[in-house]
Amino acid sequence: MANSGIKIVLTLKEINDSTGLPTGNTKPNVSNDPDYIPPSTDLTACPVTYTTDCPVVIATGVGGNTIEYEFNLNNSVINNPIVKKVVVNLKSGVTVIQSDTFTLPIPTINYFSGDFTGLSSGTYSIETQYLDASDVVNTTCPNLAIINL
Amino acid sequence: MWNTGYKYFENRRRLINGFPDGYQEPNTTSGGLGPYIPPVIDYASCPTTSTTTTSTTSTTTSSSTTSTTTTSTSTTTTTSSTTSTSTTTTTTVPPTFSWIEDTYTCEQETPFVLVTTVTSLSSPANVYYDEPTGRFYVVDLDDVNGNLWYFDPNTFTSAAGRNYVTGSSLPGQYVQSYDYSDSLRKVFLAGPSTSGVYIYNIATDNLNLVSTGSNAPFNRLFTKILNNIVYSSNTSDGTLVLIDPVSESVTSTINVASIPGNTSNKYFNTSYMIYSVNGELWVCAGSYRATSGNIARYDASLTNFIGEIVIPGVTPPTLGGGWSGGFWQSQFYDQDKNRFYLTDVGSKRFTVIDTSNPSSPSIIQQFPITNLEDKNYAYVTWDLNPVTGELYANKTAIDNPSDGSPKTKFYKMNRDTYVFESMYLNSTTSGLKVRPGTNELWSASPGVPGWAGTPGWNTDGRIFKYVQ
Repeated sequence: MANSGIKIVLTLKEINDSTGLPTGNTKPNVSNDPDYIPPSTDLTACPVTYTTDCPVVIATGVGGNTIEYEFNLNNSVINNPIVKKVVVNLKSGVTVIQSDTFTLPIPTINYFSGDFTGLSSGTYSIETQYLDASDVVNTTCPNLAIINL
Repeated sequence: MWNTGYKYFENRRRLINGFPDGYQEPNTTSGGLGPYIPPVIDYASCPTTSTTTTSTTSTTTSSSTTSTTTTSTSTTTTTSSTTSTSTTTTTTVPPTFSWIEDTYTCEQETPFVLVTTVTSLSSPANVYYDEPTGRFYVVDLDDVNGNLWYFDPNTFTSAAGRNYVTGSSLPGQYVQSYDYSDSLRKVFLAGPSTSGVYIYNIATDNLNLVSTGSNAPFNRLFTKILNNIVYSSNTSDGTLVLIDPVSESVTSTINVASIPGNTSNKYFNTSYMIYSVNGELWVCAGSYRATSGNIARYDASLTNFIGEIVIPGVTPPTLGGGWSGGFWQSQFYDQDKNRFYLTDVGSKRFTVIDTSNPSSPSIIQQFPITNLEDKNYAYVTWDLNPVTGELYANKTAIDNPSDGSPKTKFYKMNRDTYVFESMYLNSTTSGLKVRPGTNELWSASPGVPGWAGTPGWNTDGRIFKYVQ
């Protein structure tokens, strides 16, 4: 497991305002409580690690000529300084037929989706590639989904 | 100056066999022979007080005159003395307190991680946490041993951990609608053969039947507590029964044919849902038996039909196999954000309604439910994580209600922009509930019998424990 960078407060403790010392009272931190503390980004308490893990791509052929796809990228990839773009390639054999490019980061977004249209019947595969700031591919994730139209 | 209630120790002394041996040293956090003794709350020794000192000064003047008659000289000598008195008054000042972060967890790449799956259950449909007992209560749609049971989250790891509520094997052993009141600590259960609504009072461990209507298949598909009233449908009688959940008695039986606007019983036919939105009651389609895909707006007493919110594009799914071809929808009211979500199975579409203007709710967005993984339809339910405030849309892609190989995943949806921010595969958050004060979340999955609806049909139901 890897941290997302978000800290979630589970319990609250009561302190004396004058001394800052705890009184010994605690309670759950739930959203309907007036003292509720919402989740927040805290990269010190919850440091993020970096990876180039490949996503799991879910793809479906629709209507005989369209392929819908969706996948989730972990924060460990999105926050990785060497990953600036994600390219989704639709391939027939070794040939890239169509591509979608997502430029990172898109704040708060880990989910990506799209579709490839105007296709003819056949077998297709989907791969993703991670590009750095110079658009150089540093990671290729082949055959993440195989679709028969 | 005032005491805070804390007592600090300036020095510490050494005890030998419980008796001081005369050695003492400063009570410092480091150094010395003994351990540091931290401050403690001691309101007896250090009462929370404020001290006010009032000074009073009085001056006394005395004069003496000496006269010398010979020289006609007169001399006057004046002396004065000053007396000061101090008065000390003590007034108790209540200390002020604040709540700050105590324990926390770091969110992982997934919002929560599945740590325990309890299998071999019948059809657990939802879990409800009861704070006083620390138990989770479970509504089971078709467990032949009982439709209501509880477990101890500290020890629950297998089906053997079920504790059935006495008498909860309801007539017909089949529950089709249910709800829970956290404040009343009561569970409400109804089924086609239950002769009414069973109300279980957790505090008194009493299961009571409130008799309503007649028994027939799919008669009681709607039971819900809204604004401290339990609403329960009865299809064959054509009634909607209102029950006082406190006294556990019927307060009103409404003939749905008499409800204004309900032409040809299009809103209150068999399967429908009711939501309380801005003081109104919104009547929506339930599961594949509804005869309207639009939303009917009523006042709180159902005596005034305010109007219909037309949902563009809604259509009943074509389920085949003898399944009813009615509208099939699910809804979620995000009261904090003034948004009402509706998903329509037949049209495979999300609809978002802005409810911020109570008099004129408006559709602000529609978008398709995509990527059904070769299934014909998808059913979506919703869960709000009470700790993080995150909204999850649970998508179950199926061909029909008895599909034994559903494709499940859920999405984290932005509550302001309605876009999916994350996706989590092969999982569901159905009925996600937090165990307060812990990083645990629990949920239930009824499995296929939840769709098929045959008592004790199989034991593919599961309870999930997650940590976040």
